[in-house]
Amino acid sequence: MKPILKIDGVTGGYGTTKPTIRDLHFTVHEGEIVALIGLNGAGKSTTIKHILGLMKPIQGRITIYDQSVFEAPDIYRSNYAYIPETPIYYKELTLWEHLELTAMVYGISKEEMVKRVTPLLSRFNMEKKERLFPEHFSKGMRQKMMIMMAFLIQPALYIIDEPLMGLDPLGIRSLLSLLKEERDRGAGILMSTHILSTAERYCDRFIIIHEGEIVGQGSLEELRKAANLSTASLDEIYLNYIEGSVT
Amino acid sequence: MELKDLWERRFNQFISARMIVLRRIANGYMILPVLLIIFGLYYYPIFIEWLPQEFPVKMVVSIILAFINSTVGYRSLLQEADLFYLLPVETRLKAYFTRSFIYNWAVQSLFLISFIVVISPLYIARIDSDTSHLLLFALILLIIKGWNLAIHWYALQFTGSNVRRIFLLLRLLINIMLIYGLLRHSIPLIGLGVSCAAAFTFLQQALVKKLTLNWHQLIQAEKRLDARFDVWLSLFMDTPQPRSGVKRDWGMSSIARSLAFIPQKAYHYLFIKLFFRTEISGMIVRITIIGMILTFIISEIRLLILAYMGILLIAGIQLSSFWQVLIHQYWVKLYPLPAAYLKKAYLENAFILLISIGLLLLLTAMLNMKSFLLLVLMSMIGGLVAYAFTFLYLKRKIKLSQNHFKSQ
Repeated sequence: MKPILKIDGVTGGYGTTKPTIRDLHFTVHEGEIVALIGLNGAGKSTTIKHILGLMKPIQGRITIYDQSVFEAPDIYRSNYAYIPETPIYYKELTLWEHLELTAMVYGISKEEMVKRVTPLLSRFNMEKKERLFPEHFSKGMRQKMMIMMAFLIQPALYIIDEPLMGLDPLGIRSLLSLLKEERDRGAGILMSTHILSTAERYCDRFIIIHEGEIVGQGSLEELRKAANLSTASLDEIYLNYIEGSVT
Repeated sequence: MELKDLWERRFNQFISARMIVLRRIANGYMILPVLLIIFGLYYYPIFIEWLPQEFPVKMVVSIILAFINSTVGYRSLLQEADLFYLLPVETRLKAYFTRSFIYNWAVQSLFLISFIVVISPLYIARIDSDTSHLLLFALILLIIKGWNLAIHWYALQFTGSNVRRIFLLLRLLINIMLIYGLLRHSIPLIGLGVSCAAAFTFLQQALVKKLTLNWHQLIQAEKRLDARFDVWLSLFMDTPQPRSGVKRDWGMSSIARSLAFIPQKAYHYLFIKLFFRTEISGMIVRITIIGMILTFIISEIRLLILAYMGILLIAGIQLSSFWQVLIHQYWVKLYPLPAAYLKKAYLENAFILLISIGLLLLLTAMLNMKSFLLLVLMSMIGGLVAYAFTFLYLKRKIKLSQNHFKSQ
């Protein structure tokens, strides 16, 4: 599988004296779902901000298909879609206009947009909401809008921050099945999450981040082997790592 | 903290925050009111002398004063969190709301008095030369202002903006009736106005009896005032994206439909949608309407051209704050589009808007003056002002703001 996202020795944060993340190394390949797991304040969101190109690393390099955001910003950004933890939207634009603008920005034609959006609207039960402003939506509906905007793009890489927050059970099911479909299409998915049971079921690899450093990464089997817990769940392995019994 | 001290505490916090900002503006822009006063002192007497005898001064002044009196905002200093913390003690908040009412009346009365001071030379010259009558008129206007505010307070207890719009329209009509009656010293008209006001108050009181305090509306009213202040503030300093609700766009944002699905025009599309649905467009419309009235009534050529250029510049200054709205949009930072597209969309749309405003002003000026030579002259001046303002001033302002962000 070809690598999409490469994080190579990245150190960064909000100041130079005490970086929030230190010397991170990991890769997301085509056709895989990678979970980024860690406690609150572990450095997951800072890592994501660096990948999005909103923060510049103090050290190291981040590339998508070997392009850095600082060398080729438009090519870099056209290769990913982002779903934020808290919905971020234009309150002056309706749901349909959000989708229309996203299509314009990513060079998707009207016919293609309608083809991609129609099943998304029906999947998330939002067909009757397309002319409404997100101000009138519940948090879950706003999150669904974020998801639809991202899946409309069909990029090489998805960066998803806490995707299940605020979604109803049907929304969670739709999102997870979409993630699987996109993985099968060949997209890479980096998903930051706290819900380890879901991560264990749907993700191919796991990156455990603790106090700004990666303390473990690999498939469930690899993590079990490293932790010497042959039948343990991701929950148990994770706690084992965090509590420092694995060195 | 005691509940009885809540208003004082919030009021003090609010005033100190406002004073910091206003002091900064005063330091940088003190010259503006001074220029305005010098301009007014010179042109006001000329304007009064020039105003034709048949001009309906009483009616125009009544309509303007009725607008000022009717369009009231209500600042309660309530916050979202109050829905949880203050709702249980609603019945003990009578003193809080009484104080907020006095505050709103005082602030809005100050604005009203300022306007009366401005129109006083016109009043004395054309309406009534007895200054004691003017003082009595001002006093009655302050009482009418209080009535408007009280009615608006109760209107805020109703859910749905249509009810408030109907109340506003009725108040506006009653205000025109009362003020016009006062200016004409017409007892029947005043009597009719007072009767209508009494009937309206009685009817509203009967309806409002069934309602409880509408916290949501009060918080929304507070937010609307904050949004207006933000838009005004953004004229003087770089501010984060102004807080504002979605404004009705009267179908104007559908202009963007013709741009849909052209990637190079994505930011043009965003500009149009955001512009017509935020408070800034409302301000531009109001300025344009004032400009159209001015260019329709001013017949002195130099004054007309000065007003024409002045209105274009004021509209341009309003537009200059819209750059902040665009660059503070989160998604704009993530879009795979060159940053130059955003700048291009902003400048091109600002230019089109200024040219459109210029054309509207030109239209009313031509209805007034009917001179081909003036049409050519004003078209050239308008085009030049719009071009220079957009592609020299705004372009430079964007560059400075980008350098400022880079250096942070």
